[in-house]
Amino acid sequence: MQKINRLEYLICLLFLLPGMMKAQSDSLSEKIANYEMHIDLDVEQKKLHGNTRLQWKNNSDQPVDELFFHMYYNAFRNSKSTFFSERGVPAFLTNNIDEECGWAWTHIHSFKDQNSNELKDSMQYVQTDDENIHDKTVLKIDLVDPVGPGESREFVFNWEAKIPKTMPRTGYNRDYYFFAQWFPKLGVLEPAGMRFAESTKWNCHQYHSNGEYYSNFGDYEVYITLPEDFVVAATGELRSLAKDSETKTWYFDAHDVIDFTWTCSPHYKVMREKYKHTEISLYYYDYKELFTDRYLSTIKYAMQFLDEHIGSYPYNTLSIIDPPIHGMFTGGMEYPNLVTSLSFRFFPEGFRTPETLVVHEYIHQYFMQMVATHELEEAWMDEGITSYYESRILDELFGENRSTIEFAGFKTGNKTFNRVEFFGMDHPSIAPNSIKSWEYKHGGYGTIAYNKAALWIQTLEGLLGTDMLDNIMKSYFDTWKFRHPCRNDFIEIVNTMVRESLPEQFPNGMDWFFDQVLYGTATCDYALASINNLEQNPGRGYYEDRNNCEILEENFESKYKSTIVLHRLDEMYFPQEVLLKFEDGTTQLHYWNGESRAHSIEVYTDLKVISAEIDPLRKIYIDKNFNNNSLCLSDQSKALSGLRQRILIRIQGLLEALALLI
Amino acid sequence: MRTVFRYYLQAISHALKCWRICVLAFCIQLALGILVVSPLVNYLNSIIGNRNSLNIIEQRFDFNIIMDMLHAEPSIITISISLFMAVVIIRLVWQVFMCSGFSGCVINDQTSLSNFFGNAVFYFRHNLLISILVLIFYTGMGLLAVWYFSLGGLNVLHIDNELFLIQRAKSVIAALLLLSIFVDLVRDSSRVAVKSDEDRNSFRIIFSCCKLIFKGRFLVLAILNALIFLVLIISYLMILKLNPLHIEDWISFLLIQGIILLSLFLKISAFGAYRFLLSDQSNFSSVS
Repeated sequence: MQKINRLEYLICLLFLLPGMMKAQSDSLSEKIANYEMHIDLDVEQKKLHGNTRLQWKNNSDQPVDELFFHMYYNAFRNSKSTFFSERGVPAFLTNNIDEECGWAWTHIHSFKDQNSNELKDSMQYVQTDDENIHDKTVLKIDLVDPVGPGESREFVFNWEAKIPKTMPRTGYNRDYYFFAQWFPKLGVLEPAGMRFAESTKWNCHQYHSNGEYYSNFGDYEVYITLPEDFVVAATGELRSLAKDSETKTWYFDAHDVIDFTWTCSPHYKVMREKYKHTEISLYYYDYKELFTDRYLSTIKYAMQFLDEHIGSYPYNTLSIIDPPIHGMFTGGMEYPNLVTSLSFRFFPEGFRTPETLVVHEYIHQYFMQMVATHELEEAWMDEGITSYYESRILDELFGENRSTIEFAGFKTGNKTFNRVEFFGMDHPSIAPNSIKSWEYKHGGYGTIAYNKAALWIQTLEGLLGTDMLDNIMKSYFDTWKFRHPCRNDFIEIVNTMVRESLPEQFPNGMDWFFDQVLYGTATCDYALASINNLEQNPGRGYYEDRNNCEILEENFESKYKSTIVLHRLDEMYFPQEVLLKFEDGTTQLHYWNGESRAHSIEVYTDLKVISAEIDPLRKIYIDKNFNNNSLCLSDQSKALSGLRQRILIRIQGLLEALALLI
Repeated sequence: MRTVFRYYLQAISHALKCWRICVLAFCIQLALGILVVSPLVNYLNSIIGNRNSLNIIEQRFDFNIIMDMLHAEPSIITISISLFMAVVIIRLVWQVFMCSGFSGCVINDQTSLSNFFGNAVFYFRHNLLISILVLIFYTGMGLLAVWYFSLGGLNVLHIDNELFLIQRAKSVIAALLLLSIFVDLVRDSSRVAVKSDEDRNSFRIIFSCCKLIFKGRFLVLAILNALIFLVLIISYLMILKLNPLHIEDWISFLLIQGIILLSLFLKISAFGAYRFLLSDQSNFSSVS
């Protein structure tokens, strides 16, 4: 290395200073936990050998004398871990694992602080959520020197991991490898006041079957050494690629991210495209080439949509992985700068699984990767919001009634799919959205965290208007990007903006809404009970004179008094619009606050009301039965007859086809 | 080949004379369809008959409406499936009965309705046996296809890529389609290969007809029949597909009914053509 003298050094510094200052100001997050990792992949032994240098900052006002680490791969140590106890192990998976003992583990061989104190002996596995002694996914390490408030400390540790064979989200199969939630990773120290923390404490949950990860932001410098024929995709940017005899070392650098994930295979092909400053790289197996256009056009549409509606994607890279069929358990996941999708060659083009997954996982770059909510404790905050935007993007791109499936006459949109999934549950009231992921012990995690939340956000859009919701989400994103909000933070933004912008409609904000949809388990069902058109006649009978039956002389301004009776059948209530249609085709829109169990609308006109409909624009999308929202007095026999003919010709076709067999 | 076409045209001319039989068969099949559809439509009427949903679903497919109906009245699925299965069984028995009547009229060169019913009863046992054997054969082939498709296991974790599955599916479908041409040949010729009232040893007839798959004229006729039915199926599917292009429902309905009626005429024609070919064979006696 050539020496430079002091003058040269000063000149260099002068030139570099603006850049350094800019780099400093470009820092997007607080960078609490920063990792430098050197990883060796042993493809023969199916092991990882890791050397980690962790720089951690105590951002609380309390000294910290212990650290908590996630040891994710220990979830796959045996079938009695919390992960598998909650999920159960399907036979086809265990058979596959047992073939070559695909169970896994992670072990830290040595752990030193910056004073070279060996802390290995103080390490102990703890169970932070249950008392399952077989679960070794959380490791506690006592420190010799406590870390003072605001202090940064460096730790170095050597570790080794046996890679699981095709477990959910991670593992290997054949020569396909996917490493997610894979390295010993520090939990999150939550200072008092952060999210729900009343005092400073570690937030480090065991690895549960439902729910993924929650981490501090930081920088990652990762050096991965593996056989030279492998292609690697990872979080961050590839900085260098060094070749050594039969191996290659890939160096990735990622900033302001909450995790680092990578994958490798000798069979990956790569297709690259650009969206603004971001390089999109699609990694796929050769036989899946026909999906590349679908992926790339869809992702660019999604990127533009979120750019316009939420905020810009600040990273320079985005990798999309389309795993092979034997790696399908790693598909449909989201990690910083890297998402996995899933496609099957035997699915017709009308099944939009690849598009749906790639859009869904990309939205997670915003909701959970940048607005880093706690996926385990408040799954709806990323899965629900993501599912809502998934519907918006896909319905806009492919059409509202065909964005999920469009095949052989059967069509369904993404928004519809959310609703059908949620109300398809045996008991949609089984749990609220406010519980932790692993507390959905009796089922319903997916449908409640994803579908129900998407439905009520859709309903929120209906109540407030699309523009208003977009403004709220923009403000939420701007306020909380690269930080860790909880539901109260989201609700506060909604309430503040609603009170400001819609003071007449919702003077007290939207707590009444969240109490029902987020904390409650009730369902919503409004019904149009009856329409009655009464001709107005003068009063008859005895009035002034007991001996004289008379007909009163009354003049009516209108011929009919029409009464429309509305019912609220379930517990949830929302303000409703009611559309009345008259004989001549004209319409009238009425409003009802939706609170009482029954309500009637009375109108006086010369025309009969021939139909009425509650919520004609389906703004209250969480209503469980749209069919009873309307009532028609007009003759519908033509429509019924058309329907009869259509069903009949299909049934005839089916019967004829069966008869052909014999 | 020219002979085959000549016989086919002759057979069509005979089929046209059987128009009463065809119309009757068509009406019975239509009634069976209505039997399934009526309760379903009545159910729809009771749930959404006076709702806007009826208009919506009449105009376009709305999954929300369908699912809301099913949630409101889930039993309709079980009832509809049970009803449909019952009608399928009736339809299949009717198919055997109808083919017995058709083939009997072709064998005896008759065209009246009373002949149709008489022949249907007379040849029913023979035709039923043929149908059962065909059904058993198809079931066996289906199982064989499933076995071949899942050869080596279908555990996704053991599969390198799904292309070979697609390849297998394509080859299984192609093989079954090809096989169906031979099966139709043996089935239809067996139905009309009865020489006299006394000689109805069905097993012997079927076995003899199996040899016909090696005879060029019979193969040409079988392929011709397959092509005609393929055209009918494509026409049916096209009319269904054309519906979204605002073709009036009643026009689609009438066109489909026309196709079904035409298929009945062509069924009799196929039987007639086989009968002419069989009569033309120098070894017809050995066949029957």
